Amino acid sequence: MESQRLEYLRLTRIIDTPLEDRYEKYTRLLSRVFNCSFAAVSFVDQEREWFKSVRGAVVSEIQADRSFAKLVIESSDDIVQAQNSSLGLGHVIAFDQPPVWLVGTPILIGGVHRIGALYVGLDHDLAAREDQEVLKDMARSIKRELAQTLYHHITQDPIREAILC
Amino acid sequence: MLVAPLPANENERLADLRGLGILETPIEERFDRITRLVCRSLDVPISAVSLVEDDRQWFKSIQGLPVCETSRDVAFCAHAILNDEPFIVEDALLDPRFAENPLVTDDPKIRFYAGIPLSLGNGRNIGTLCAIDRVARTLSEDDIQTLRDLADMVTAELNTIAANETCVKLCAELEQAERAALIDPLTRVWNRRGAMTILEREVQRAERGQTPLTCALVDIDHFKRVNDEHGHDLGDEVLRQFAKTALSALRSTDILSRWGGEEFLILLPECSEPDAQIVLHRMLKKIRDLEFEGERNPFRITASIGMAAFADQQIEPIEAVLKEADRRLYAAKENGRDCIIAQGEHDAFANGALRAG
Repeated sequence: MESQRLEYLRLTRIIDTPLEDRYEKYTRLLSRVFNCSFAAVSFVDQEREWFKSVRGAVVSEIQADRSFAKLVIESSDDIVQAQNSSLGLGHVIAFDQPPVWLVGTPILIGGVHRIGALYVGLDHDLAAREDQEVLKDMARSIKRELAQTLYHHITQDPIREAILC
Repeated sequence: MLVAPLPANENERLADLRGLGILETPIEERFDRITRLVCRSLDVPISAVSLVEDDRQWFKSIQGLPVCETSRDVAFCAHAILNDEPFIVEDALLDPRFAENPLVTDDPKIRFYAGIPLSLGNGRNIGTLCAIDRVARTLSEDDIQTLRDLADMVTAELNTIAANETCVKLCAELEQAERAALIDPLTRVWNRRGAMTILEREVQRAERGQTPLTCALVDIDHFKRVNDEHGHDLGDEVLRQFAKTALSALRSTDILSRWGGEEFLILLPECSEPDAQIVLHRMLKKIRDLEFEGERNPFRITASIGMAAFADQQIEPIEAVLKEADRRLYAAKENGRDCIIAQGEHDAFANGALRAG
């Protein structure tokens, strides 16, 4: 399972790519919708959580074992929430404004493989179902962004389709 | 009222639009979630992906209004596509171009409109992503940026084909009018004929690739009661919301179709029965969570499902599999409704062990 996940992640060729506005717009939209101090789109390989887009902190990657995205990936829930005080993220990420809660949803490809996470830092938890749906909707759209890139370098239909579903 | 002039590149623009093969295709979750985000982030009741054809605007996705097109003459979007900049009407009643527009003076009583032109990257605008309100409003720079970002998401979707290959190919083969004949006008998902066409192709594809294919017949529980107690308009709204909600729970490769009345057929390609159950349980939960404003009181709905799989090695005749799904749907109704009955389960689980939690 983990090797398949890493293989899919590798196929997306997203890690270590430059800043792209099409991913920036998700963190922009999140900070807009949730009025949050921190928002991130990140991907997790064996060792690290790598940030494709961040708002509200300066960070490009951190060790996976210290990361919130890793929690999201290892969970089986659609929405994962944790208090920053228990995570101690302040030691690895220089937040503009340290959040109290972190709330995230997985970026899924191939139906089951959690290759990354979309998450926000808030001063409260995210209880309303509509709010959770917004987060999940955006994660699905991010998968579509990944798909756009995939179309350029994967030509075998079955693989493309498996990744996209 | 002022009817918008035609853009200078009208012919090229229309060729772009028709070349997309998107007109008269079913509603798709990948666009619906963007219009939902518009409503949510700008706090507006109405949002649409509007594509402007020669004599009408056709909505690929729309929130807040139960229509799928209007004439081009009254369309705000027909004005919005004339320029590349956001087109904003803060108060339609104060704007001589729109004050007498029937969409302003009558339902839906539009007062505020903001549209971002959509193009395929060549500057020819084929439509807009728009936000609409029934009260006059102003937008901040941040609001406009948000709408632009969401419009970029629409463009990304327009440039990426849908995930189900069979549907993409089918849509490409058919002329617009032929496509329209395969779509249910009320819910805007495939109709029974459309579903049969796709099913035949999916069966062939499953056979060729030796991949699983599962189908599910879904029936809304006690739908007659909804119509009797709350009227047919609300009954129609229930069907529309059911279709949209089901799509949001299904995988992007799954096909939803209206099989007739309050019955829907779902095809789950490359999906074994156990995997299909996970997807369908997720769907039933979302359906259960829906709330409708009834005549006197709010109400909720549930649905029952009969599932059947086309075996990997040896594909059974379509009719036999559908009949089996139908039999299990009946068993699900017998079993107390709001549940799924799959292979071998309609005896073993008749005691309700499979009732959806």
